[in-house]
Amino acid sequence: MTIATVPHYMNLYEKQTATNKRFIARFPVYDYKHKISATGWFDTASFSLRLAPSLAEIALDGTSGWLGNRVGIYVDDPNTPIWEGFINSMEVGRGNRVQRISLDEMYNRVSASRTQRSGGTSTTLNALEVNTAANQTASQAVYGIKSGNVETYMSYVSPPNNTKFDAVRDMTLARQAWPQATYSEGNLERGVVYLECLGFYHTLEWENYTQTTPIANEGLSVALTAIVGAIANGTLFFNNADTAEIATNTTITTRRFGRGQQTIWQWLQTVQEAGDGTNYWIMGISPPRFPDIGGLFGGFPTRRLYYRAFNLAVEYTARIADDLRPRNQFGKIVRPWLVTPDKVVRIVDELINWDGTGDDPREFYVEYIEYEANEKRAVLYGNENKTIEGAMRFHRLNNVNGKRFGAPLRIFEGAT
Amino acid sequence: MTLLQHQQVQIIKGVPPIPAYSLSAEQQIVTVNLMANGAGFSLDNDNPWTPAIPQVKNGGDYLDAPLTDGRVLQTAVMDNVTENIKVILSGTCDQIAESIAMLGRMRRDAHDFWQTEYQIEPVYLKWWAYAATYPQYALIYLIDFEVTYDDGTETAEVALSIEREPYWRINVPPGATPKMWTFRDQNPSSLTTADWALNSGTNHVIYGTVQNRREWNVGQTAPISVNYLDVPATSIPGDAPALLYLHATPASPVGNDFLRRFWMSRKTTPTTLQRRNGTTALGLNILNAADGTATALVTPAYRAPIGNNTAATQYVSRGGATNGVSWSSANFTTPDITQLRGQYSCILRLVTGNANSATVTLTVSAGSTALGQITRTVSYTGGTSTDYTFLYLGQIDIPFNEARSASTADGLGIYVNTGNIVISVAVARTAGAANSDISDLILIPTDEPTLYLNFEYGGTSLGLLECFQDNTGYSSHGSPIDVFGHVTTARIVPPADMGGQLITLLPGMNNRLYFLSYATSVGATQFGSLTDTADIRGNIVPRCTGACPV
Repeated sequence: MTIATVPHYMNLYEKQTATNKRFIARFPVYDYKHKISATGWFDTASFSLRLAPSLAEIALDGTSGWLGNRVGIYVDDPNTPIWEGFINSMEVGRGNRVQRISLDEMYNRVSASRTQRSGGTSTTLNALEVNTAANQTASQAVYGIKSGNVETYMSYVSPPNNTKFDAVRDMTLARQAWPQATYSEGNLERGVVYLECLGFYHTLEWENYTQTTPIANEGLSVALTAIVGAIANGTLFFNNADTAEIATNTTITTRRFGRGQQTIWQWLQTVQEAGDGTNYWIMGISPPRFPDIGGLFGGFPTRRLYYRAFNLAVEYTARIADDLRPRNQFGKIVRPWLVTPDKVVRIVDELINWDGTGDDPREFYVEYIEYEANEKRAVLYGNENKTIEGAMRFHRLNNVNGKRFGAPLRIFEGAT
Repeated sequence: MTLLQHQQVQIIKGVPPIPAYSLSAEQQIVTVNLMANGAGFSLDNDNPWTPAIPQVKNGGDYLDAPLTDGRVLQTAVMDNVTENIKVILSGTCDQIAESIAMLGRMRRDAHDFWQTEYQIEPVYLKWWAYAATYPQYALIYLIDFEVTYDDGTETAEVALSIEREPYWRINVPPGATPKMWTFRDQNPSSLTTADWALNSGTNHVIYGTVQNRREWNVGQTAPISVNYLDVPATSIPGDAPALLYLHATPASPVGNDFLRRFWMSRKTTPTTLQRRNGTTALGLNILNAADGTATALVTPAYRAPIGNNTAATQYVSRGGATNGVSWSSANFTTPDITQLRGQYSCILRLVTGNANSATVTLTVSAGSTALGQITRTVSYTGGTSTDYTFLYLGQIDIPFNEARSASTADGLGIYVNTGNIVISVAVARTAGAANSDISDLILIPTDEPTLYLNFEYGGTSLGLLECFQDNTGYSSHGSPIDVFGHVTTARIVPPADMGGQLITLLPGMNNRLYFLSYATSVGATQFGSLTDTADIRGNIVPRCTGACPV
């Protein structure tokens, strides 16, 4: 394991469901990496801790363990974390086995869906049918609501067999209402705990958008505000009633209507990707600020949804001569753990015979950054995606920044 | 005696009890003496041992490219040191066997200190160099040895390999109280239990009371209140950063107010410089409204604001829809705003006005706007009309660019920055009708180790009474981990949120330690009191890479 020259620390806090959301402990972190995206903001972070075996046991200890707890990563600025989110998975070395516990496959609110033919030989295909979601409230009280949907088989019989339909839902809930633990082969050193964390915007992937009756056309920002304001987790992970960072975008309108079992985040992305017809727009959960007066005096960071046009200002410069390390507008190297996206970077030591029209080849918009503490550098990424996946989405401005888009679908084969 | 001879070389397990404290209970110290010079171990004179010097880990980390000359150092940290010591073991067969067994037990204990939870006694190397005033100690990570028996001489040659921490601790074993350095020249029998206390009394390497503000006298020639303590270079021997046990007792604020947040910061860049014309340039870290160009300076009736310039008159800058203060070289004489160099967290102290909302903008300009400007904007909602509060405005770097210092536009070589620095704050009300009162802008250095303690809990009756930071190993019984502790008004003590790094002191230079406290009242309002004080006590463990220079 290596530790960055400038110490990085993880501040561990209680889960967001806790009354006081208190600070618990502070640990130096090893092999730290994080990703921050213009859409979403704090995206992922991973690092290792060195814990006494007894403390590692506590960390894994069921609902009182650390899974789901909030973390803040601090370096030199003691007031502001460089990254913030929650613990999504933990791995602990057990000799040549690794024990892993994760929120990935946890679903404490489950529904099942199916399509139904009317009549035994009818070729009429009815609309998607989703049964009422079942809840595991004890799990929700600890981790918040995380929704999953099981897509089931076609039904050939009318009236349909709801017993089996509901049983699929209930069985899935019973098996997956709590974080899933696994053992696998691995070589994690004893006493080392490896954590993977997610930013709070990922909690918008925890809920399905279930609007089945279309709502009349409204401006994009109006629709976005309404949907975010009604999420099941409410103010648990961010203040969903605070619209201070939601910019007005009513030029383009949309109807609110759920497609299949889209997550809230996926639906919001359909709003975000449209931009305003001219500019690319971004959204996410804003980084926390030093507690404002008038806010919760518990010292809880101010966190809210942002939705705005992207930032076209040239705030970073870079030189090919020193491997494109980001510098501020004055030429000062930006400390790599402070590098952020949603700005334009200009290459300043390359002469281009550019005539001033079209796309400036010296500049690119920073869609996301990846920072690795051991390398002591942050890498900037634009939004040009040349992969097949990018090509398939070439009409879309958004590119795939990660693979976490909502609850995976389950397909069951069979017939009632 | 020559340089290759030593006074003492020992491997020791255990933490010494605190002198003069009758209740201090520690396990018996276990010693393997490598200079028994009789039956037992003695240094091999044919293979004399010279302590190694720590080397840069992996040779350092560089930026390197095949098309450019040279390479640029990025980071260089010290690696552990491996000492190879040859000793001769003599005595009867039983004595030789027992000595080797003792060494084996010490080896096991050294390793178990790192890999178990039950073995809490540190194992360390003691070296008292020839002509050195004090012994030196280094924590051991790994011990290994080989034994070669010589039946002819009835001795055994033992080749020891000991991996230890990079630096020697001067006079203070790992886990021992850092006051063993404070009282290094005193007879322990002359000291009382109270003398050995780290969190009370006045007998410390660092001791003083700091204010929660900084004011200048008439004419601005000297400060009349400060929020910092200076630790002179003469107090910090050695050549490696000294470990620090630093304790703060913020005085109980007015009435039922309790401490909520506390900053501690170190700065080692010079704070006093001589100009060529013989005048003195003093550093600034707090900019008071009365020293700047303000909207309207008034003397409010509520809690005492800062006294400035005229000492007897105390001012804040008051504004309604807008309010603002700016500071530049023109506002100062002896204090010199161009001495501001480094990275700072900027905190504005102001009275926000009941039910007000406002946007606050911090602007830092270097010379004219064309040369560079940094702007930070934050908003606030609510507050009170009589209590000061802190508003965090973000971090700034001065100078703005990569230069450590730069010349003025006309090339006159000012040591800090291009042209004049102008710093301003502007408050623009967005809701409500009350005034805002700006007291001062506080710049806390954050380019050197800075600690921030946040003690925020539901319920306003739980307050912080004391806090301390300790990287000497005393609070962790020798384990080299950072410890931060605190005492509150309730017996059940929840941990305090903390950001930043524990502070060490750089040897051979003046270290200035800055402090700032922020309290809240039982009525759940928030304020950064100007009248708060804090008693500061500090004790150090100086360190060196070779023989102790003291």
